[in-house]
Amino acid sequence: MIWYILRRIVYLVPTLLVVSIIAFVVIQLPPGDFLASLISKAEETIDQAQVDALRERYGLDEPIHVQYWKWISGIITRGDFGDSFEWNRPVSDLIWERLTLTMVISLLTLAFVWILSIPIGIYSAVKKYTIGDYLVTVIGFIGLAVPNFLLALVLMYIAFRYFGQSVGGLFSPEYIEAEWSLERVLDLLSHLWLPVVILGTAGTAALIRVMRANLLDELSKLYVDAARARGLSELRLLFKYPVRVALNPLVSALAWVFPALVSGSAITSIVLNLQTTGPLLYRSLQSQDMYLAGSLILLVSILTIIGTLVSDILLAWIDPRIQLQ
Amino acid sequence: MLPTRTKLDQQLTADERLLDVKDVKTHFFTDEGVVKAVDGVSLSLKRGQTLCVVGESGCGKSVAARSILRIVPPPGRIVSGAIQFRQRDGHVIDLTAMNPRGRDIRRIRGGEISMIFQEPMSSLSPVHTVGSQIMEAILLHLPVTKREARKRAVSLLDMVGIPRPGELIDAYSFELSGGMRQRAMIAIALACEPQLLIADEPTTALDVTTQANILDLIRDLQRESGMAVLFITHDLGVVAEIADDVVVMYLGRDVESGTVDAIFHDPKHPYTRALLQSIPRYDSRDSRSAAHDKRRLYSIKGTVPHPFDRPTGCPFHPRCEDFIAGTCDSIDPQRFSASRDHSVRCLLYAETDEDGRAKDSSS
Repeated sequence: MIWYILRRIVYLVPTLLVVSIIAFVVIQLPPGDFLASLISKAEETIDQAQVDALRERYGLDEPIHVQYWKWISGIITRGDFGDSFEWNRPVSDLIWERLTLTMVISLLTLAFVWILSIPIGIYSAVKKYTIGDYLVTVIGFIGLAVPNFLLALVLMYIAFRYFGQSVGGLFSPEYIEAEWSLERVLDLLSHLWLPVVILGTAGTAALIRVMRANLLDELSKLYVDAARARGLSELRLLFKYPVRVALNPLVSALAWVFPALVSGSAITSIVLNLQTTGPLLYRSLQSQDMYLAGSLILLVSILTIIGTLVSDILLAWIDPRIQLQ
Repeated sequence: MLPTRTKLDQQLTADERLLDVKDVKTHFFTDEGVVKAVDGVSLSLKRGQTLCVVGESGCGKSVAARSILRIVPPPGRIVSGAIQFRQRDGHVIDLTAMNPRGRDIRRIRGGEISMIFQEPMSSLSPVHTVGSQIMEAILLHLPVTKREARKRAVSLLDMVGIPRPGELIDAYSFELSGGMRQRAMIAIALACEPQLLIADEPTTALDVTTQANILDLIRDLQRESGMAVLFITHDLGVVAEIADDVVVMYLGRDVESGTVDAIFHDPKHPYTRALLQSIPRYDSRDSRSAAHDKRRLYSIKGTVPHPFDRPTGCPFHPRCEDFIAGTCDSIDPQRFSASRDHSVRCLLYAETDEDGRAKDSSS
């Protein structure tokens, strides 16, 4: 097992290298560069000498592999992700707090999704074709069908109208720029439920369906009958055998659920005005702020790879059928 | 509904019966209609005896077996009949009166009556070791510690002929061959020395050599432990080899039952006769001439009717070669006794034995 994990970690290195190259190439693909989009947006004309000076300063006229090398060597040796053109600040200053908040929201959402969907999915499968099952299914489909941003707007309205909460963002106005303190954490928590519920709804609905389908498959397997035939009680039987097997696909789904939460929440985050990475990435892509965009894409990719690794290790741990060779 | 215990005791002690299934009906209530999977089956089993239930696929053999353990999957349900079982302490209980999820039936399952299934490939959990499943059965029914249960599990694996039992107790099912898995299933089934083993086509999914090994194993274990075996199969060769008594089923009911000699040498029911005729033989005079004539192997005409489309009268009449128009398609035959311990549900025998009709009426 330890060798398996070590080997998987070693494999990460070339994967990350390739991912970083792709991330860098992708952000270079659109025509023009940050200066071009800056010039196009600028009110007054910028003379060519000024543009050339900027271009040289940012190294934009160098060949792409030289630019890439500057960027990646800075990350590896100094943890320096380069400067954001638009914000005129180091990328690392901009992203760490946002990345932390994104992680917190994602992990909470993931917990919310699992805690809610697994028991409901089990109930729905065990009581299939009963009123309870139909009810859960209908609610689940509504949750799947309603776009997150719409749900965000509705819940924001409810939170504001009936609970008098300041809506939008993750902090009340007085805490936005404040230092970290107990009060600030509590304020954060009181704001967190909204994005967690909104981001988790669709995932919960989807996972209820997945759990229900998985479990229904397992419930009709002969090993369930065999366990029943040796005298196990229904409840112990349910959790020891079919539920245990039905959870495996959920663990492997972890790999794609996680990055989707990190990057896929951009629109909701914009609607809710969350200080997460989604809106930042969206803006940086619009303005071709290449070091910022590239770094964000790289970090999301790294999260994806780590998510895959974690789910693979978990799966190897809980499912003996997976060969470690 | 439930007869008093003394009455039951008297009924059963007469011939040391272990299990008495009386006219059990198990129906499945689906949206499309009621499927009468088991529609009046009676059978009885003495201690240490082997009873074979034979019949085509879909005739209700498996559902009948599952009805005994009360593990019929929904929407199936026992709608009438009684299943009397003599517990180890001598008390006779009616299994149909029990709550299928209750503690009482769970004590019977695995403790007094065990079951092994058709597909050893899928009857073991894919994510638990063989040993943990044997130990589970032991710990559920016997007052032993985990360590003792493990020791017992190893000796059970040894008993069913699994090599290196001390090692393979920690193997997962996917690490074992089909034959080994069925041996492991038998070890689980025998873990608490049941009085009755229900074997639902335990050799169907195995190759012929392994089949023979598993049959030998079951027979040896039965001889040592004195348990009774209810063996479900469609293989008449297996029946001839292991059965004491035979019940032939067709469309959810027993059409003929008797000793293995009576069924093979003096079959009464047209269905039983047709079944026996459709066995390919290479040792008899018939087949030698058959080889010469290039005659086709006999097969029963028609197919098993759709469950929603049960024939009226005798369910076998559309395929029967001795069909009597106006009689067989309107009168549902009772059980008539052809001789002692040999009963047949066919109107051909209606007049021949008035006594049997009176003694052994079915509905």
